[in-house]
Amino acid sequence: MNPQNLHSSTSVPRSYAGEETLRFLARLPAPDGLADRLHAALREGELSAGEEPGRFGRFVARLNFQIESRIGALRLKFDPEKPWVRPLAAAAIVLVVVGGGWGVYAAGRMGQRPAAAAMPAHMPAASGGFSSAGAVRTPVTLSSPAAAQPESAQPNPVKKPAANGKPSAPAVPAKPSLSLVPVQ
Amino acid sequence: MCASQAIVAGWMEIPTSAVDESSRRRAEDGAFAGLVEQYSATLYRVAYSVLRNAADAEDAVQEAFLRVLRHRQTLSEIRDHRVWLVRIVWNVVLDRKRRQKTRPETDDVDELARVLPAAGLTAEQRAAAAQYHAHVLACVEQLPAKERQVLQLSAFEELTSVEIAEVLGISESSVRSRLFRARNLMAGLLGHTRSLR
Repeated sequence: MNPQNLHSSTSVPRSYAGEETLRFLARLPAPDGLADRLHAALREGELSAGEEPGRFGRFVARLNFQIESRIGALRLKFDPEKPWVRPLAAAAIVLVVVGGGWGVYAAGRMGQRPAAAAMPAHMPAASGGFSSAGAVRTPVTLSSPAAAQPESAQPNPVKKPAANGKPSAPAVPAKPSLSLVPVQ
Repeated sequence: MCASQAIVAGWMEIPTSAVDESSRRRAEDGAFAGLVEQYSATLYRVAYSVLRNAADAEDAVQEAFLRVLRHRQTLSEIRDHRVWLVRIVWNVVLDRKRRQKTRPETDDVDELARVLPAAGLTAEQRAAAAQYHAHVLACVEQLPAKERQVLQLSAFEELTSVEIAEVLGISESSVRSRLFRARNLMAGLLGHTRSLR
């Protein structure tokens, strides 16, 4: 027996009581006729693999047809078993996916709206509508005397406090002179 | 044929003689058939120990040989066919177990009793043994994956620790330490359930 066998080695801890169950399973005999069934199944599998190409094989066959029909003079054929065909196909798929993604992104950028919608300038409506048509709103008043603007709107000078310390009388604002002007 | 056609044709196809090709193919077929005859039973037992289902185990062996068939031109480069094949079937089995969460056959105690050796056992003894084995297998399923795999492979007396390490792609010392942990865990699990009873 091989000295490195786990079952004869002393460096391995002793086996537990239930290990016999796994050994029992490991010693189960193979079913009768297993090798014959395997031979038959493998022969079948090999034949079916040779007859029916996979999805990639069908794609390559179609690609070959396209190429042959276009540049038949060159007799250029893609063989799926060649090592460079799969990386080439993968690169083409990546290119298409990235290009498509970029196209969608670019289209989104072009049609993007501004973040804030600008308000249209206020324009009087041509047909009247709700606009005031430039009219200045004035309150309806009776024709009565109106207060005219004061002649001089200069503020009153603030009096300095008296030197003797007495508080001076509070300054009374000068009343504007009124004049009666008829309101037109 | 013009020069460019000749260049393209030469680049695309490797010229080989038909006689050499057919003889090489025949030799590969013969070697492959020999592998099936020699190792199918071993591979079946490896597959069955994990899947615990006869049909699934046979399918796994078939899938493993199909993988070998696709790469049969590399057969001559393989140093140890047995370990190489066990490694292939082991990976197939783990893939299948991950994908299909079917209940193993031996979870059914009656089914386990059917595959047990019945010589010298009464019906009651057989039933009790089947229950015990089912309980042990349930404990094995509770182990962490790394420890469980080493424990399952260590049950095959024809596999040394070096070969188990090759199958699992780890070092031999890792195999030993994992086996140590697995046995301790199993002893704990079995002792715990015994004390509960």
